[in-house]
Amino acid sequence: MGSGTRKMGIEKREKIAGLLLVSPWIVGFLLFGLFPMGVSGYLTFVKWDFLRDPQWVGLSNFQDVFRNPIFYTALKNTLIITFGSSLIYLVFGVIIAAMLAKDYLGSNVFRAIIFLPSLVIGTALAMMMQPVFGNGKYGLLNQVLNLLGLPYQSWLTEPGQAVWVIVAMSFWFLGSGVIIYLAGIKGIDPSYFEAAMIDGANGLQQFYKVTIPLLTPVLLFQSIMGIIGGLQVFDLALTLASEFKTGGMGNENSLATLVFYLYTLAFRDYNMGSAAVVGWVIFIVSLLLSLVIFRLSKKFQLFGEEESK
Amino acid sequence: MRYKSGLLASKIFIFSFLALLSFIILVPFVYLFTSSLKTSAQYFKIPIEWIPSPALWSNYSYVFVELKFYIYMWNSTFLAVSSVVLSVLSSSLIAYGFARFKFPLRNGMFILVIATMMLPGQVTMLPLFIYFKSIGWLGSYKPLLVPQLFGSAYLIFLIRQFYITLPREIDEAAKIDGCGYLRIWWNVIMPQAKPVLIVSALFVFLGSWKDVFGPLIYLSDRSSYPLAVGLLYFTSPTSNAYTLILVAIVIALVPTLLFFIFSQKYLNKGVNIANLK
Repeated sequence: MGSGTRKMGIEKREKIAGLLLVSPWIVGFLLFGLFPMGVSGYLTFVKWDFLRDPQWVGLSNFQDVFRNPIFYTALKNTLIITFGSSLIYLVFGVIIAAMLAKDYLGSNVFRAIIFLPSLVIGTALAMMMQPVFGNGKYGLLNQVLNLLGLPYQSWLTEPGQAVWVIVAMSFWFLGSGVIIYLAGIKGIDPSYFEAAMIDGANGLQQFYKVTIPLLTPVLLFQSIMGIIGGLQVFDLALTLASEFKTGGMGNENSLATLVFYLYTLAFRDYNMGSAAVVGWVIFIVSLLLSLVIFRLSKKFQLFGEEESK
Repeated sequence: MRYKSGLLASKIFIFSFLALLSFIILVPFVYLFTSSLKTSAQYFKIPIEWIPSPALWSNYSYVFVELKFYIYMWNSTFLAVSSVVLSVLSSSLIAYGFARFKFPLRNGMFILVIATMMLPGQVTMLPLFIYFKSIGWLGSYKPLLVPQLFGSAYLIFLIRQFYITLPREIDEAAKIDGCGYLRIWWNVIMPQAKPVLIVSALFVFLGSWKDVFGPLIYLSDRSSYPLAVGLLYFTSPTSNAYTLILVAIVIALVPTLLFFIFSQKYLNKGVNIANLK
């Protein structure tokens, strides 16, 4: 009886201690998550430029945004970047991680080189890439084309082409995904690979039959993070549109992304209401795409596993 | 015998593939570095001079001292180090709560943590901007640092996934010895969690160092800009502006490169997203 009440006491203490420990997150979630989301919902219904008081305008912000062709350009560009870069991250990220996992000669050096671009500030990387994608004979890529006997391209100024430059730059950002996949592969119990090897599976078969199935939760997690990241592309577009200092989003808005557009609406045009609408579009598209990925696999068990007790 | 030669062929293929990829990645970096030692005239010369002569090492001291890049460097370092300390400590404490204690709504809250990780910050950004503006925090580092006190969803998730793999026996023993929960966290859990803490620190450091959006909207005074924003508004009074900005990019790369090299051996052990171990 006595030990029973003491045990109850401990359980209660653990409960309180646990709640206290996670309380900073709860406070942060309310202050920096839930509350601002509510306000941002309110902002979509008002006209506000920071100076005068907000004015209730009903749905007119939605009409303004959804009738503006720039919004559709930004949405299209963002979706191209999101799907293009996510696909590159996923396919090449896993393949490269699987190659690096075998501890070949210099695999640490390769890993460092592949991660190198992820160490560079996005705006700086875009500046570094400008000579690569430069116009005429000033572009490295154009010089390669020239060697192959192909005509010069205006990668960044040709509308419709600039957005593909951002997609192509995904190859320079494979590093962070590779690191996550590599850790995942290294975490797989080696006995699975040994069993496959005894069954006569070669490297490629091991990749399909062991690595990919066991890595599925990581692949899904990274896909979602990749999609969210893709939907938020801003700094690359901002820098590649070198006229951003005057408020432009690339030639004929060819470098407009949703976040770039949001930034322009909020901090160039001081149109908070329309900017909030764009924010919610980003949110809803993220939510929908994440749900699709969740649906694609029921193996998605990131937080289901309890400590065995 | 045939098996062996197939293995060798696949090894050669993998090695060549990685070497080619590394080459493609490295070209802009080599170009960046060699160009940073040139005058603008040398920079625009065609064909490209891969080994500049003369090499203008003075570009570096010019950017660092005359163009006052040491100020940006200091600002970035201050922001990144503060972010690492605040974010890793708070997230680690919160993760300890999620990993080791049973309390009402724990699983629901943890799902919420993961859900917030998937939310784009752009929805909350405008209200936060307005809020920070109204309490007079604009132009200071507070909007960039104070939210870090409340933990970051990604880190809470990453660190919690690591904590649940740690054996409970050691903290049970410490509890019997009369250790309080905070002492157990600091003296028992934290030392065992070094890999995930270092990986978390790397992610926060990189995130802060590379962040453009936050400083761009919250800071207004040039002398408080971090490197990422300083680069965006780079101007030079001399005609060498084209190559001097490349110098600035190289300078900005050095600290992140050093941090990465330091953390490299912990990368495989520290990341445990799907709890495969």
